[in-house]
Formats: sequence, C-alpha cells, structure tokens
Amino acid sequence: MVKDPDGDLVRQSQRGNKRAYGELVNRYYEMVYTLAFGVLREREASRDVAQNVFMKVFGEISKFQRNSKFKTWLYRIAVNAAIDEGRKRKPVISLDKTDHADDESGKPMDVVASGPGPRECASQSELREAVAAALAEMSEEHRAVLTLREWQGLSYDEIAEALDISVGTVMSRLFYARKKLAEILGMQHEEYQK
Amino acid sequence: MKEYEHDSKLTAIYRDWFASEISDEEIAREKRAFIAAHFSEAPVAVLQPVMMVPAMCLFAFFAWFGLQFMRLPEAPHAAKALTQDRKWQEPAEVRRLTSEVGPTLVYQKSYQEKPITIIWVFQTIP
Repeated sequence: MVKDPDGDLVRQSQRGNKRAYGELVNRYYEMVYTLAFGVLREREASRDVAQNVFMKVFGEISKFQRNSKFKTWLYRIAVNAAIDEGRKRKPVISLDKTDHADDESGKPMDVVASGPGPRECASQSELREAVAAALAEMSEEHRAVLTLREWQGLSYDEIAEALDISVGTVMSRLFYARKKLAEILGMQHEEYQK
Repeated sequence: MKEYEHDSKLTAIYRDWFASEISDEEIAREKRAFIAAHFSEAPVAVLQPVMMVPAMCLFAFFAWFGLQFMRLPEAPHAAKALTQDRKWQEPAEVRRLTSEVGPTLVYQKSYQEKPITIIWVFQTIP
C-alpha cells in the first residue's frame, strides 16, 4: 500500500462519509477542471466533466485498492473522461505518427508552418487565437500531456503514471505538441527541424 | 541553453493563454456550489423543507383536534337537566353572570371569516 497524504480522507470516504469526500473534492476540483479544460477548451464542458468525474469517483471509491495515490487514480479517471468527451465532439485523430519514441530522432513530421510569426502577432489576443488554433490541430491525448506538463507541472514519470503510458510516449507526445505550437506561432527552432 | 529558452517561451505563451481562458473565481464558485449540493452533511430529514410542510400540517391538525376537547368540556349534570328536560314558561331573571376561561386562550385573528359561536346556559336560582 502506498503512503498517501489523502489516505485518511479516502478511508472515511470509503465508509460513506460525504463530508470527507467533499474535502477531497475541495482539494482536487481545480486540478480536474483545468485538466478537462486543457483537453476540451470549453468552460461548460470542463465543468460538466469535472463534476461527473467526482460523482463517478465517489460511486467507485470503495473499489479503490490504495495501490497508488488517490491523486494519481483521480488523474487517470479525469484524463480518460476528458478524452472521451473530446472524442465525442470531433472525429478521431490517429496517434500512429506520434506515439513512438523513434519519431523524436527519426524522420521529421510533415507539418507546415502556416501561422503568423511572433512579430506578426501584434496583440495578445492574436497570440491567444494562434495558440487556440494550434491546440485545435492537436489530438485530445496531446493536449492532455501538454496541460499536465505545462500547466500542472507534472514530471514525465507522473504523467506516464497518470495516463498509464510509457515515459517515452509522454516525451513523444510532448515533443509533437510543442512542435505544433511552435509552428503555428512561427517559432522555428532547429530541435524541431531534425 | 537555447533549447531551454525556446521551451520556456513556449511554456510561457501556453500558460498565458490558459490563464486568460479560465476564471479562478468562477471555478471556485462552481466548486463551492457543487460541494454544497452533493457532499455537505445531510440535515436531519425532518428539518428539510420537503418534510417541514407536511410535518407542520400534521402538527396543526393535532393541535386543532386537541383544542376541540379543551374548549368543549362535557356539560355538568345540572346544565344537561336544564337544557334537555325543562321548558320555560316565563322569562328568566338574570341576577349574576359568571365566566370561566379554560387553560387555553384562543386568539382568532379574523373574526369576520369565522365568527365564534357562544352558547349561554342559564340556570334559575331558587
């Protein structure tokens, strides 16, 4: 069993203590909401996903074996819920080209830089629009990794554990997401030209 | 070093976009409402509004029912005899009037809507 800072609250919640679970919701609501927002980019949908996740987790918390931290377990459920919701909203994008670590050092990805460069992005709003456009071209999985890394500050290992994927896949997805962002923003860098 | 700076710049741009798109106040407000609606301690069932109305109605009915017995005590034997058996031939002379107030004083707000009926029982004094 893993030492978990949420252990007491989890145990009480497993006994049906709603107030204890409410404290867990209080601790992690922002985390789940922002993760959902990073994937979906819509406030209302993110709120719905976050609240559905917490309701689902409360219903299934008795099944939680405490082999991992509650936070990690929650991350996994939240990421899957956000990705599922995102897929319902648009066609599936294949990850075949980007999920393998070989892609990082292998053949270059065929992405054309089409957005305006930083100098052309005169105002902040234009820059934000460019970021939104770049994110729209990514899959839910890439946006999830980007959010976990760049907004929530998780390590590669933590992201890998939360998503139940290898560290190599985490690095590959993050590389692709950054590259896409850089291209749309017109920020060319030799690292991405390999 | 150059790569690090590049990634930092991308991170900063992404974080700036993220911060501009979400509202901390809105999230906090939604969180509070969500916790209050689903995960706060449930009040005692009888104190919930849905239970209060029928409970109050039931209480009011029993209170009213109880009052009927308190306000209409059984008539004394003498009064019964007077009202049932005797037929008065001549007008009675009233020398003294007394009134008793029972243990409950009923305050009726609107007399016009439900007038109080008062039954007087007179007893002849030999």
